[in-house]
Amino acid sequence: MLELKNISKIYGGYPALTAIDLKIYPGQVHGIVGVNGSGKSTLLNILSGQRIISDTGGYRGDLVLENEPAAFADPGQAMAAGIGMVHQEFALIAGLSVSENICLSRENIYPWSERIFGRDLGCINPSANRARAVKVLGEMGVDLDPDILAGELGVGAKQFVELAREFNREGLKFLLLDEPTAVLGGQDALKLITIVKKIAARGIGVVYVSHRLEEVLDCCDRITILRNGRVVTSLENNPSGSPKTEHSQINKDKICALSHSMVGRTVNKTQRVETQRAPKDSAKRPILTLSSFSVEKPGDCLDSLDLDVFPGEILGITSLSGHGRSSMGPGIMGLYPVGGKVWFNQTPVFSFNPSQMIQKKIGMLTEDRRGQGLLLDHSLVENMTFSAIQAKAKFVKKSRLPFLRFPDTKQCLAYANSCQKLLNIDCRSVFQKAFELSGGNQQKVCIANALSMAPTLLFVNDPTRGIDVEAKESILALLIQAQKTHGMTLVVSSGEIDELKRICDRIVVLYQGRMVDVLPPDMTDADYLLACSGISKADPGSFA
Amino acid sequence: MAVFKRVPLIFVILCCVAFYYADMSFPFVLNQVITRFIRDGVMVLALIIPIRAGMGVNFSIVVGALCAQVGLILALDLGLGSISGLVFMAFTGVTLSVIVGVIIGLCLNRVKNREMITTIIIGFLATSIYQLVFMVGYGTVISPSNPEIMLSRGIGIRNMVDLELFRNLLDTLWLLQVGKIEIPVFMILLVAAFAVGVHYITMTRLGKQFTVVGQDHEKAMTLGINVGRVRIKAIVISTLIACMGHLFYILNIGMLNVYTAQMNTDIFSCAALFAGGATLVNARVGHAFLGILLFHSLFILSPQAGQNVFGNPALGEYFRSFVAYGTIGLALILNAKHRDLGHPNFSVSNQVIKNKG
Repeated sequence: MLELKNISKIYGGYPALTAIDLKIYPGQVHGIVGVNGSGKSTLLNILSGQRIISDTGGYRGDLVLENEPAAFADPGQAMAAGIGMVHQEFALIAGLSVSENICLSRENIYPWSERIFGRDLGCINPSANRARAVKVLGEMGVDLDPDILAGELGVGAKQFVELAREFNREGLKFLLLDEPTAVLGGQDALKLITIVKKIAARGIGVVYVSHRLEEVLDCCDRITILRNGRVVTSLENNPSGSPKTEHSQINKDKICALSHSMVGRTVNKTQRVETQRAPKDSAKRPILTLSSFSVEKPGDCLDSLDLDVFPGEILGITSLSGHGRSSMGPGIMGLYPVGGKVWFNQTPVFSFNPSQMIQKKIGMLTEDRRGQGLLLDHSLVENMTFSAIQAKAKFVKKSRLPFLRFPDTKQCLAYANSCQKLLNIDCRSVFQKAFELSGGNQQKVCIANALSMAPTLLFVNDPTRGIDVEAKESILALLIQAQKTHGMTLVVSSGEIDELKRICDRIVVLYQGRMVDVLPPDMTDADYLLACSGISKADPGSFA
Repeated sequence: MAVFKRVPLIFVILCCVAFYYADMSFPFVLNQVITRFIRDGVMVLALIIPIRAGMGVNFSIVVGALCAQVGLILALDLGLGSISGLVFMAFTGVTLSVIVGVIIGLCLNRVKNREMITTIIIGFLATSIYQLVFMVGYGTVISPSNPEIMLSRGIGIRNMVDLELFRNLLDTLWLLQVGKIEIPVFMILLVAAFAVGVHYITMTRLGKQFTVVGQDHEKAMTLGINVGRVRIKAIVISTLIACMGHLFYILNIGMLNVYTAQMNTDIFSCAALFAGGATLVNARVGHAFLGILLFHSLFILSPQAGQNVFGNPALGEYFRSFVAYGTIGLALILNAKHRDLGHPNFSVSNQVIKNKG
């Protein structure tokens, strides 16, 4: 039995987990559900000894593994203790074959070589490994060529190989699955659930973290609901004998009950007043029209979307992660290959690249602030004016020589100072380096940079990701303000449905890259959770 | 991968052309190649494991070479000769190289993804420390027991030290004469033994760990592999092999050029490995052997060919350097290009645009 006693974890001053008590029994599938940021991943990280936990100050509380206190400083220790983990982002080595990956660090070696040179210098027996991989894949009922390179597999197949690697381990006592079906289609997800049940039947305790409530109900013996880092309730569940595609009424009721406890009561803070919302004027011509628009963003594809975006509105896009919510903006900006047709202001767009889009007054705020949004080693002034200087020749001194034009530091500084006041950026001075700021303030700098180009259409990806609660509110307020004062059109993608509901005029819900529904913001959270699981409001009882 | 097979092909063609113009007898060339093979063979093998562990070319094999030289000079200083001296210098060299190997490994763990430039600089640094010790330290701080190896002023080791005591100790062992071709069977077997050793390591669990770390050290870490340790092991093995390789090299030459013998060992070994078709991410024993054969054939032939065609032997000398650095440069650039092409976004984008655009 794996027991968690009073586990708490604090990230950067904010509690991610508070006093978690859990018992995971061998032979049971224990489902853990919760909305984004409820602490599911943190819990798994603690259990599997990921470095990020010890690097951020460790955790409080006790882990008890089979009546022995346990603490894992790195994943190797957790593995040695019999805790395996299947990662959301695949930990497969692309250049090794499927069988090598499955047997990794547990290779069969020729006994003579082990006797002479010891275990680490034992000569690997490839045919025995291959045979073992074939056997494991066979037991799992997965049809895969063991000699194919892992890098050449599709995402679904990768998930199975990853599972096979853990399945193959002797001495495995507990298996942690982090959203194992997030990348799988319907059939594959069912298959995976069958395998998970097989694993549990071997006496292994499985921790199954998922957003997909219907799956959790299908396979878990016990379900724990997390909200804001606390256990809300823990309930017994009787998984149906075989996973079903059809949703019985009982199941649907259960899903509704679950989604209600996941969401809990919400306190609305930044809320757009109804009068602020854009008038629903059907005669208005759309600013952006998409027709079977697809984006091939690795791990987050968008599949044939038909959508009109009207000037002056705030459009929300939401889905579970990996279902395509973050790919529309980058796709239109030309960061990923796209298909389909796009009209901007009634003119068709043929080629997609960032500088052209900026010229057309389309902007984007990326979710990867530190990686793509900011020049971390440069000052705030430079960060706020860089794109405008480069792409729009704003804040540039007049010069007779077109190739020799210098930035106008005075103008830059004036703009930066005004932004600092306007956006209320908490910094020592505008000459401070961007990496020194907190996430929220960095986001504000990104917003200042985007506003400097005066876009008419702005894509915003996960604006509040990794930002503390207070800053979240001010960011949201800023977005509303930008829309109001500049008459900007905003397309905001986020997994935080609650936030989208507060600022958006309508919200597009995606499932597996396809549009399920366009919902008004006054729908309940449970409706949204259903839509995120692919159940359309308009057509209940069927999957999108 | 097809791109890389071009490099050995270019070398084959160049060798044929050079052989045609050099007008040398085949047995002579072959003898020379065999000599070079036993001189440089082990050194090239030293590069294989760090490449497999994703650390790029370990230019700090120079440090391993210096360890060998230190062992050798100490043996001479103590007046040890013959087999006992050989054992002493091998032991000293290996001990030293393991120690510096660990230190280099620790350094490289701090500069992930910038290993190659770091190893180059470490090589320079070690060389200057070595020179400082033997040029200034000997005779001042360290008192020599063998005055013959000292400069006449009493401070510093001579530039050139004769290895009378060790001459022809290994080279002539089991010497086989086939027509005009001399085959030093023992030395060839020795190099082969090192090759088998390196190849064996690649087939072990440790070798698999090298591969995994080389492919993706973040994933390796989540899989519970101690990445830092594995990388240190790779560098230690490499430095150790380099030390032994340099020992064979000096013994084969029969003279120790105290301050310059280690020069260019890294560059030439690296060029030879690349000439055999190795890349920055993949190197095998086969690459090393093919590379030594091709690279050194060209090395032997090109000065003479230069003399015959242009009447200027210096041209051949320049050509040597050109070939060495050119090979490395070419391999590095081709490798970078290959990585770009291998990037998932890149390959996807081309397909999709073709299909849908």
